[in-house]
Amino acid sequence: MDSKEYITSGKIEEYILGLLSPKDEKELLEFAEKHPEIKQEIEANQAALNQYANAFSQIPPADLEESIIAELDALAEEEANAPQKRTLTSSVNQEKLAQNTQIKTISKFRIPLIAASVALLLSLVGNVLLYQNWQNTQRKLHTALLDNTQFAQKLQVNQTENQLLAQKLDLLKNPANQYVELKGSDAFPESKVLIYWDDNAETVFLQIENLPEPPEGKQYQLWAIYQDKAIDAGVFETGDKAKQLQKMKAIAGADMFVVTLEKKGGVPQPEGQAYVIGKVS
Amino acid sequence: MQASSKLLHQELELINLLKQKDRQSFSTLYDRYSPALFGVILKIVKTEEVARDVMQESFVKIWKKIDSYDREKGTLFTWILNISRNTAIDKIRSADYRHSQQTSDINDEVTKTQPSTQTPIEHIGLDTLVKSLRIEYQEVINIIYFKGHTHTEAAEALSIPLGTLKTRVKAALQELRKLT
Repeated sequence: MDSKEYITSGKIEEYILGLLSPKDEKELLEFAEKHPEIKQEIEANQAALNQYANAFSQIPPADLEESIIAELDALAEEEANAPQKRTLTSSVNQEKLAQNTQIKTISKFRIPLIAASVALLLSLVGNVLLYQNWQNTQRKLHTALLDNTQFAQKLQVNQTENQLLAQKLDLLKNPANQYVELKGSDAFPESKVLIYWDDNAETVFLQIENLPEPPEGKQYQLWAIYQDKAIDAGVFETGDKAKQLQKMKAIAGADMFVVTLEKKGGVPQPEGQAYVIGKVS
Repeated sequence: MQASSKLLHQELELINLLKQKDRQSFSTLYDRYSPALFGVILKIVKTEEVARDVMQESFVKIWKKIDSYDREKGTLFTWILNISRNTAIDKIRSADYRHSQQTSDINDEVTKTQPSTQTPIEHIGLDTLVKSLRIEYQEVINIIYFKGHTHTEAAEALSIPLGTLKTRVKAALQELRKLT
């Protein structure tokens, strides 16, 4: 039989449908080995039949795969155990036995499962460590930011102090300025206030060195005493602003300066107790 | 050509992994072919309950025999399809199955293959391919391929001469090739 005859004989179709006798089948396959066109013909028919079979596709029940895998699993376990029954004739066998014993409870199908579990566990541990690390970093960052803020605040304080010192220096360097130290009265010996007064420009700067915090509703007021008259030089702040130079009201002439405690907002003429007094030299 | 060579490459890789008894490759195999195999098995054994068992048996066989599979002799799909088909046919020939199917007379087989009495299951792609294949061609293919009948049995079952059957088998495949 030649190729053409084979193709027209219908044997190829019979073969793929499983109709040929073993003898005819063997003959056909041997012939196909030597004749690529026959092999091709077989493949083409087979592909068509496969597609026909494929047309009946049905999604199998969802749990079927699991059930099959369980059986394969059991099989793999059996295989792993089987060599143990053999007699140990060589060291090779012993080695195999050792290996098999090791994996006897871990079947081929469970190894990936265990590997996955281990990977998951490692991943979880890794996550915890990373989380802790992250938290640490967060804390450190927070501390750093706090420090930064503190430094910034300190810097600002320093800058303010610098500014103050610079202003003071300017006031002191200016020969027009008179420096008056107001010392505590007998009742308040610890109190001290500094006054820089330029009688030409009539500017007065006040700096608190030490004054008790005034009670609620009260405020300190500066007076210039000139020719036995008290001239209001304005009220001033205490507390946070206490160390700053505070510009007071313009004063043209003064023999001395006095600070009294008055009601908040000040009064036209001094009524309260004098805290500090200083004579203009 | 490139697409088919890529597919071939994928198939060879899958075969290689299966031979190494790679666990993941089994899932790939199952995902790819289980609907086709289940469909064929169901077509042969009729009930889902039996089909489950046959499917399980078939996959176990595939897994066990993968070493003996030779790509030179046909595609992986052909091979596993034949294993499943043969397992299913063996099942319906077994005493057990025959006993359980007592009610359905063996002589009913011919009428069962008629499209009008086919189990009304929804088949993927069945409409397009199968419906366009002439009924007498479907009959011969189904009775031989899905029932495992020999020439003589098939000719008898279809009440046609053996020569006519052989001609019809050839014509059926030729038509199928045109349709696919």
